[in-house]
Amino acid sequence: MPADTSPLEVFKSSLDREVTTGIAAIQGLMQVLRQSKAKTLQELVELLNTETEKFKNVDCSVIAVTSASELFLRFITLAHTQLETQDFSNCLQLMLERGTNFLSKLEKARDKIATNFQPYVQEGGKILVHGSSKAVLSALVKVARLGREFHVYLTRGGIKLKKHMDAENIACTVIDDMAVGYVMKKVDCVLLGAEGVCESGGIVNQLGTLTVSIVAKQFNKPVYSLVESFKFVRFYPLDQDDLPTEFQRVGESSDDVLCPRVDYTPPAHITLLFTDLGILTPSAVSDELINLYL
Amino acid sequence: HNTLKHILKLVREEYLSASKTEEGECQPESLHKLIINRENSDYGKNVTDLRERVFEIIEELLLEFEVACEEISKQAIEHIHANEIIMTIGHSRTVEKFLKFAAKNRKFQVIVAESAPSYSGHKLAANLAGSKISTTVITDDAIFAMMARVNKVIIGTSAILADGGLNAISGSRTVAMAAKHYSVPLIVLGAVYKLTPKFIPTGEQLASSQLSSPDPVLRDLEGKTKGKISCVNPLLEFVPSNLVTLFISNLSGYSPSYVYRQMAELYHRDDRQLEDS
Repeated sequence: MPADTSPLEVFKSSLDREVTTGIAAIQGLMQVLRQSKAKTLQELVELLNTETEKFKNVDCSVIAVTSASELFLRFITLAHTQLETQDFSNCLQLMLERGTNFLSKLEKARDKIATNFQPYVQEGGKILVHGSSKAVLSALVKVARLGREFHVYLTRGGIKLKKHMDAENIACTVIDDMAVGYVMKKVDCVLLGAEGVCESGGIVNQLGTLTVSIVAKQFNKPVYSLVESFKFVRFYPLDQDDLPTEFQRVGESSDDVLCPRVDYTPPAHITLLFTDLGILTPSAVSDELINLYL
Repeated sequence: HNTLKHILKLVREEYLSASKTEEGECQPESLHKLIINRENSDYGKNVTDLRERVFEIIEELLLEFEVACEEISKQAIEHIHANEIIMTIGHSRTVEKFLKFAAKNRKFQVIVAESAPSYSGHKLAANLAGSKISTTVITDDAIFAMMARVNKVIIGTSAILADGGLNAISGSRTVAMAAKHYSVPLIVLGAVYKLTPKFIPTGEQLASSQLSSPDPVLRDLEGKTKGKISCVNPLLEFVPSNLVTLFISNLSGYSPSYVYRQMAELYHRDDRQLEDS
C-alpha cells in the first residue's frame, strides 16, 4: 500500500475487504510505524494510542480493536527492550520487520483453529451457529471440503454467513432467533465465534449469545467458541453492566427499543475454546493472558 | 502413548538446559511467544552427553511410576475421616491401596458396586475384607438408592482427559451422576501418567469406550435367539468434568479446572497430536 495513506484509511479499507477487525487494526498500526518520525518510544506509543482512538470511532467491533492494539503495543514495548542498545530509527526498522512476521503468524491463526476443530464435527451432525464469525465459517468450510455431511442451523444473527455456506454446498436452515429453544434438542453442539475473550474465560459476542448458551446448557449441549488468540483481552467483567459503553455502541434505532450490540457470556456456559494456541478450557484463558503480560 | 509424549518433553528440556542457549525456551505456544518472535529451537545443536542424560531421566521416570501408587495412598488420611461411608465401583488397584492405607489409622465402611458383567467389584470387596475393612457389595442398580447415605465416592480411572473428563470403568458415569444429585464429593485417584492430552468429542465416545465381547452379558441367549439380539458391552465410559470434585495424583491433589496446567507441565505442545501428524 502507498506510504502516504493514513492509517485510518488502511484500517477502513481492510475492513471493507472483509479482513477480521483485529488484523485490520494491526495493519493500520503498522502503517503508523511506517509513517512515524518519532524519536522516542513514548512518542510512538502516544501516536499509536491516538490512532487506536480513531479506529474505535469506526463502526466495527470495538473490543477487537482494543485487544489487537494492546497486543501490538506490548509487541512494540517488548521489541524495544530487546533492542535497547540501538538508536531509535534502527529500532523502528527492526520493529517493522518483526511486525510483518507477527502479522503473518496471526493471519495463519484461523487455519489452525479449523484444523483443531475438525474432529468435533461428526458425519450427519447438526450444529447450531449464532453470530457471523469468520472463524466459524472457515472451520465449517474446511470440514465440508473434507467431504463430511452435516447440517447447520443458522440464527438470524448469523445471516451473513448463509451465502458463503450455500457456495460451499453446506446444508443450512435459517431459524428465527427465538426458535433456538425449539431446535436445541435436535442439535449436537452450538458453535460461536467471539469478538473478544475476557480474562475470566467468558466471551463477548454478538447479542443473543448469552441466551443461546443458557438454552444449550439446559439441554446439556456443548458450546464451543472458535476464536483467534489475539482477541484475548485483559478484562474481567462480572456482569453485563460491566462491559464498557464503548463496546456497546448502541445502534441508532428510530424507536425506543433497547438493542445492545454485544453481550457477555460467563465461562460457566462455555464448554471449550478453540484457539490457535490449542484447545482450551475457559479456566486456561487467564493463564495464557498472564503468560503474555508478565 | 502418554509416557512416550512425556519422555519427549523431558528430552527436549534436557537438550535445552544442556545446550544452555537462548533458543526459544521450552515454553508452550503462547501469545507471549508470538510477540517475542523467537522461533522454536530446531534442536540441531550438538550436545555431547545427551544420551547419558536421557537414560538417567528415563530411569528417574520409571522410579516415579513405581512409587506412584504409594504416593497417592499417603494422601489417604487427609481425605478419609472416621466413621465415613465410602462408595467405589469395580476393582482399581490404586483405590484398593488407598483404602487399605487409610484403614491403618481410621475406621470406616466401604460400599462396592459390583460392576457387571465383569463383577470386578467382588474381587475388591474380598481384598478389603481381608484387611479387616467393613465392606458391603451392592448391585449396580442399587447405586442411586445407596447414594443418600454415602459421604464420599472414590474411584479410579483408566485415563484423565485434557478437559478434566475421565475415561473410566463402565458404570462410573452412573455413580458420578448419582453423586452429583446428592451433592456427594467424587474423588478420582489417578497417577500423573494417566493424564492424556486428548479430548473425546461427543461423536467418538462410543468408539473410545472399548467395546468388548457380548458373551458375559448374553451368555446362552445368543444361541437361543439365533443371533437376533445384539449387545453392547463397553469396558470404559466417558465421565464429563463437571461431575468430578477432586483429582488426587502422586504429585498433589487438584481440581478438574486445573488439568490444563498439569498438561502443560507434562507434555510439549507439538507432541500432543502425534497420531495425526
